[in-house]
Amino acid sequence: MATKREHTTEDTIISAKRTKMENGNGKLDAANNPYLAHWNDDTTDTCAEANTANGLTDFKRHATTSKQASVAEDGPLNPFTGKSLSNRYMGILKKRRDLPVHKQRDEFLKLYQENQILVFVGETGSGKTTQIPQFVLFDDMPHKSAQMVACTQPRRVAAMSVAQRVAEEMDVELGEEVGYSIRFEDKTGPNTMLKYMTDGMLLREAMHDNNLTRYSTIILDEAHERTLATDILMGLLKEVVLRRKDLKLIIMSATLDATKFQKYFHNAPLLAVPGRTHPVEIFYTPAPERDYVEAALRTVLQIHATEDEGDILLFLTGEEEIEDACRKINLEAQDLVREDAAGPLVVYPLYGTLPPAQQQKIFSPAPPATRPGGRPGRKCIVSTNIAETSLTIDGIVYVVDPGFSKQKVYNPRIRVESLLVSPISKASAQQRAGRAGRTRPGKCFRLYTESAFKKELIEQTYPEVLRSNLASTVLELKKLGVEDLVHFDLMDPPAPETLMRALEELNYLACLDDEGELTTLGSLASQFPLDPALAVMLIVSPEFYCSNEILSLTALLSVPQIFVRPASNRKRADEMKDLFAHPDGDHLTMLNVYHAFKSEEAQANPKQWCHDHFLSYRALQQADNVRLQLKRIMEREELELMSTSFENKKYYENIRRALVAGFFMQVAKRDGNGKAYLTVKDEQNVLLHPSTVLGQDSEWVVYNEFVLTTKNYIRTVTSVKPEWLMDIAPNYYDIAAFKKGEIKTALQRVATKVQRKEQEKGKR
Amino acid sequence: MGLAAPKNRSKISNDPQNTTWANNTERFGHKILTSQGWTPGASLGATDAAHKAHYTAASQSHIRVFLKDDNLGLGAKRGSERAENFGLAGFASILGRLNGKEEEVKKEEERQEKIQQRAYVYKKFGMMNFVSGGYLVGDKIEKGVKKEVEVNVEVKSEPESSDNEVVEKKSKKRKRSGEEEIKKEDEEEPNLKRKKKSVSLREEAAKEDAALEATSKSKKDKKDKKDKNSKSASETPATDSEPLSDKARRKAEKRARKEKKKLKKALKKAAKEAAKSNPTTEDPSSESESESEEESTSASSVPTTGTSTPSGLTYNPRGMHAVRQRYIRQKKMASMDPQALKEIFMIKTPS
Repeated sequence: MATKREHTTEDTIISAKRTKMENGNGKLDAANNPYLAHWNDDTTDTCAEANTANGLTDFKRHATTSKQASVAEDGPLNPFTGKSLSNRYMGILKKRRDLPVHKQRDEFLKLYQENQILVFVGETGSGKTTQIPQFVLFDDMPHKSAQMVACTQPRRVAAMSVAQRVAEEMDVELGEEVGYSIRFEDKTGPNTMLKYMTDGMLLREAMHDNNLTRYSTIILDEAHERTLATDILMGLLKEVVLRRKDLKLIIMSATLDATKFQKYFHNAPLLAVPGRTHPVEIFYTPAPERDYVEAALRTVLQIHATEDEGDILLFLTGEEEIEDACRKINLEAQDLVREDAAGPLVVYPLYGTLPPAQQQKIFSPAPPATRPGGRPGRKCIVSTNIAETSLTIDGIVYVVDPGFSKQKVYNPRIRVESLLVSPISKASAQQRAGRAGRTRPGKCFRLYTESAFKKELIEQTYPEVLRSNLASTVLELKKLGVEDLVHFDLMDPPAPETLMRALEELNYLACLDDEGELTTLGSLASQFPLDPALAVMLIVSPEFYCSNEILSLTALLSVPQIFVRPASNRKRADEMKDLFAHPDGDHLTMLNVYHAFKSEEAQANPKQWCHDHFLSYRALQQADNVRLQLKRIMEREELELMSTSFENKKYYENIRRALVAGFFMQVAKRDGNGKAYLTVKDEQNVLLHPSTVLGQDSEWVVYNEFVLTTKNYIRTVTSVKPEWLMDIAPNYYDIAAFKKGEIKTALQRVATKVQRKEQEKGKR
Repeated sequence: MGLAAPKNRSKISNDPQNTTWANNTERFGHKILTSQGWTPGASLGATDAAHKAHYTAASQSHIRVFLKDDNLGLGAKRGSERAENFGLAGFASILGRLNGKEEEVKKEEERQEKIQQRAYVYKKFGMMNFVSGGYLVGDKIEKGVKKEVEVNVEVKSEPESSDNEVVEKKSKKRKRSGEEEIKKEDEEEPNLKRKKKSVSLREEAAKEDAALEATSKSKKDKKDKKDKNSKSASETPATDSEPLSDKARRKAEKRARKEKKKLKKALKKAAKEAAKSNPTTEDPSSESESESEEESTSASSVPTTGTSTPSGLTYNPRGMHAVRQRYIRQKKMASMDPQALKEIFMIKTPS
């Protein structure tokens, strides 16, 4: 089975990307491009091999039937590897044939063979994610033409776990015939014919191979989630299918309202498979609730005391709220148990930043009755909306839905990202309710009235593309060769102002030139899976002799919060943070933490060390990993890694200056002598986030993010000098272009001061 | 929350919408977009896209957000709990009646009343009530169908029309029985209150036990009597309401049994608690506690009389409010009577 191909190693990718870039406008250099590795492959060799190895010899591509496939599936030899099939395979096969999608295999094959694009709708539990790609394999036989079938997933975990499952179902080793590819991890081999991957990965691949020639069929799974990458991919693939008539496209969605997808894809045919769901009874409150959290807790306890056996899923909005609710439910439930009014109840929190080990806990079974013949136990999961679609928990019978979730929204006018509690959509409410009917008929308790459901909720949740800063997306699109951004056919085009803002940011960062064309810097920046500002900061950091430090900092800024501040021990946590504090700001403080973390003392027992210092071990570890990956890219791009010696007076100053080089558009100046700050150019009133280590005496600060939570806050701030701003980013700090006001006069004052100094120097 | 609420001051920027930026047409972004054929006011995306009808407002301008800094539930608004105090509800019903929509108005009023009654109870005691909104089948909600739903999913080839008929019939039946259930529940609720009251009284009694044994006995007797009363009361509505369908009755009985169980448990709990607090009875704090409890029970005892006149009042009016309340009620009563209405508005009916 050995071939000469080796596209898994990172090194080939590195050299290939380099050549690709030098070649410039879209010409594909197949010899060096790993994504085109199959071109230079000896195809006859693979074919001959395939023919002898498998039982698919008499299959005619795109003319097979389910009967043929099921004969091949029955064995005795594995149709793809030629090895004999294990007993476990046979067991799984039986279960697979019971799945709802299996009944419609012929129907699916017919539509698949006759059409280039197909919209497939299957509710959760229909088996679409695992089965459809396999159905395609038997008909498409991508290995015969040395191509692959790709199936995208919005989440990395899903891509990994589904690939694992399908490898088992096909009785092959993961990484061989079936593999996966996620950011920073590629588990595929030369024999891979089915590849699960994140949508972001496929988008990255498209940047190097605009026609995605290595794939014969592309399946976009969970399209209803409308992630940014899936939306962009849909727009892209819509064009690719016109160029490549041999490429087949399947859009898979879990919501029944797929007409939008159909219309978008030139009235593509639709195939719907009912899921295996049970009816869910919906209950509304008769009147609006005064306090949704309290009402939710009461409902949970009431369910526990009065309803039949079955687990509870409660949706709340954020980490703090969830932890608080868990504590309260636990307390009350203990009371109930003590009085023997109910069986035991275990409560599990579930949110994105929870460590995986604790996330796994939600799958543990409900506790048994405390004594034989007693009331059965129950588990209650209190979750953010990640349990809405991302995770499937079996055994849930009762869902409590207060109708809120925390949603991220970007405002291009003042460039603030808000993370606020807002009402969910109708679609989302239905999805939540549906979670109750996975194992048996369930109940959903909505903590709002029926009229509120009808009147106050929007139909669909806004897709990510309408809620995000598009700077990195625009950079990607430019790299993908999309010239006309205005008419790029997205399913939901973003607001014009959002696109304008993105273009302007990229222009100031010198990633786009004044004609809107990608510059060398822009092209280089698109190599990094980072925000353009961070990427630019990293690329220019060698000019400030501190690329090592900036690399660490970039890694730290792209992972979740490294400081832990448990509600029960806030004071102690703050004291620990002060140990690392740098008077000039949070960026430098984070850097101190990282350096301490990498010291020998800490590395002896890093877990304990993090725990003692109120730091997140997981985040730091992740940062370490990201740093390694970014370092590889930097080495590939021949960016020098260097540091100013620590003894040098300018050690920290250099880092701060490099920071300005990337974040000069995120600067705020103190407003008068108060606490308030004013963002430069947009002139918005902001406050330093309470978590900052920075004192109040810094006139100018650069910030990592501007968020609206309870107030307008700027988070992760470091003080800078105004001279640097005008020195490093003269384009942005062109005083003439400023609005009349405090900031303009302040800048003018600094400019004259600088001038005078230079004159004095000249005199001497 | 009026003047008593904590102040939450925040400075608003001079230009919170940043119109300086938005109105500037000299910007790089604006320039590039216009050069690619965009005109101000138009949305982005392919020209003549087939799915254009599905675009939302968010494709025109960024999504507006609202800062939510409280735990107010969905649909709840501050200070809007008692619209009937302004007589607006009555006015609306008058208008409705004049428009000849007597039936609908009545129904609506009854519904409102019911909701208010329930709201009172559950605000007071934390009972959670839900109204059924049908069953979720796949993505859609179907009203009041249970068994049929399952059939629908599994047997697709069946002619739909007959299926639907069955569904409708069933749902009607369910609705009816559901209404009866609700009525019954309403009747039960005051009982529940009484029970709770008795519970707390007993608690008190247990506390006093330590201090005064002799008096407590008599009190306990009283309590027991009351208890019995409430129990018998809870049973009567179930037997009284004759047109109950079998299913509903069974359900009701089940519920009653459950209620009883709960009550027992609650009693036990109270007793235990009392036992716990026994040694501390000498503390003045516990005395004040029991006092406050007494107060609360006295407050809760008021609505038991209120239920006989289901006016849907949510608080106990005193003084000026009481007068006003009566006035409003009279007006409401007047508006309920079509004859009186006609007299008020001097409408002559051709009879």
